[in-house]
Amino acid sequence: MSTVEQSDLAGIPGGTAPEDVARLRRARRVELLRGLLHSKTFMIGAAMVAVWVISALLWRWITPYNPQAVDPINTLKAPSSSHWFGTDNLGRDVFSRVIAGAAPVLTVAPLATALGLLGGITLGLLTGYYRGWVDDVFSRLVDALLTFPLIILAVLVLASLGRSPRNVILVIGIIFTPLIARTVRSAVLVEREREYVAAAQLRGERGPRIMVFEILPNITGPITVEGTIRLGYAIFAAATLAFLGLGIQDPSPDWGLQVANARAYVQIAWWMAIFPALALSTLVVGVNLIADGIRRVLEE
Amino acid sequence: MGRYILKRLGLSLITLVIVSFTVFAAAEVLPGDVARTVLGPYASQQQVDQLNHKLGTDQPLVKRYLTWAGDFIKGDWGTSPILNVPVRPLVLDRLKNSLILAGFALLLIVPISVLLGVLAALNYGGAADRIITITGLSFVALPEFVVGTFVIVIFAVHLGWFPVSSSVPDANPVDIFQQLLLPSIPLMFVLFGYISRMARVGTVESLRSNYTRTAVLKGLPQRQVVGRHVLRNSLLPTITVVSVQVGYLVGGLVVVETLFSYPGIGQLILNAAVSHDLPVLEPAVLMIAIIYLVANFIADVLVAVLNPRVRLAT
Repeated sequence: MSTVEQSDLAGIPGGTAPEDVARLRRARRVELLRGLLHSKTFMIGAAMVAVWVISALLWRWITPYNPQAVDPINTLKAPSSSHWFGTDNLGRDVFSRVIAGAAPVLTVAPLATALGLLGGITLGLLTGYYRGWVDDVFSRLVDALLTFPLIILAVLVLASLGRSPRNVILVIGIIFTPLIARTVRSAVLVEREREYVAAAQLRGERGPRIMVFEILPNITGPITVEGTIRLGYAIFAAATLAFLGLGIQDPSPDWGLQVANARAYVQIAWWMAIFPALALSTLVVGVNLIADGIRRVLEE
Repeated sequence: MGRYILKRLGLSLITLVIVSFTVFAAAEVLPGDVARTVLGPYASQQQVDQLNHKLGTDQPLVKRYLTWAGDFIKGDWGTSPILNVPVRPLVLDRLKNSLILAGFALLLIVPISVLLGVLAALNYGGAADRIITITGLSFVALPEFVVGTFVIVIFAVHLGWFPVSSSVPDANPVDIFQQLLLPSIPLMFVLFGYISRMARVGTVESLRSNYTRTAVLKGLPQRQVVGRHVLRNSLLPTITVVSVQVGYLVGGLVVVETLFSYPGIGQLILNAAVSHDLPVLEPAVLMIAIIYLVANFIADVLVAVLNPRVRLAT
């Protein structure tokens, strides 16, 4: 892992010139990138996710129909050459809605993950570096939190706070915070025992500086893996909450919401349910393949 | 052993108090003024104060919690203002339905997952291992409502083998499979992922241990090595995982019961949360927490019985 060079260098009296450290870091990064490009798992996952990212960004220009446009004459039409994925109960084009549906989930899930990472890294650095009773209390609290079915927690909070995408981001982000913090904490526990941290302490660097500038750059590997895995869960959670009617509301083309609406028509219009469900599966599996690919490359 | 059990029991009770308080606080505090929520924005402040006084919501939180917890223990769960039915029979009946569904899923998937997990470990690095591992990983990633949608479209709509919505089955085995198989498949997908992974990791570790090497070197046949030495040690973590998954299972039930219109406690919780039916919501969620803690307690005791190192360490 990328931790070795710097810790060894920092242990040498007098240290190494900063530009050498930077050069080594760059070389390491190039090597990792090459590893990822050669990883079949990563590339397949990246391709699957790329399709949906492009859809989310460009759906306005790609979709053959307006995803919101109602067409009362052509309701519940089976897939055909004019409507590849058929039409829904309001005559909206399912293909266009599937393409446009990448946008809401790829907005909510990354933002929720970013929020969780921000909180989790901060909390993980603090508890891992300072240890002590705060750390003990925190660990107990996380254990208690994990005893609770998280989806029920989310349902409770969303029903009270109000059902909106913003609240979905907040709920997922806050639930992720202690989970990510736990991973970061265990990485910090290993790093803080290394010589470069001792050297920094001897130089008189303060805690916050050591955490952010010494330890954090050396634990980017586990954080990247954790972040990608969490992104997969965030997509899972955001879609599920939308399906339960707790997130974004109709007429949004969100996939979870589409499946929920399709439920009542499943016996006469299976295409309404199956295509958004397939879209979601490919996105989730893609993100998980990426996470798996990164993990393997970092472990090598 | 007795001391170990007592200690676990104490810990479970403490967790229960924390969880019940959290549930109570999350449900009662977050929406703000309860009477205002009930009466709407056009009620006068006097009416709001009166209702708050009547409901006891003007009392301090801890006092309200103690009253509520006391009533819960006495079995006095009140009536639902929205459904107009007594809460206790409603919650217990829905809970029973959910336990039937969850029990069915667990009974079916735990043996399969353990078997395949062990099989993967015995084929470590081979084709079977890769297939089982990758299948497990992708199964875990898929949301329950997605898997549920696939099975509904394929097995209920196209093949017509199962009903599109599930109801509580009669006692006869055909009806049990008819009603419960489809809704339990999404749950089984996720459970398979976790349980088979744990069984695999446990078995791999156990295969690499010194006692396994000794057993092989002293010439025991493979079946005996695996059955007597490997599995006994490798399945311990699996027991813990199965009990932790009970917590997951409840979350999955919310989704699956909604998708299949199955009258279980998950659906009840969702509806109660959305309609702000707190008298139903709180005991329902608390029952879930109790079930979860009981499952964990049983797993802890079971592990201690099977592994002397665990019970002697404490």
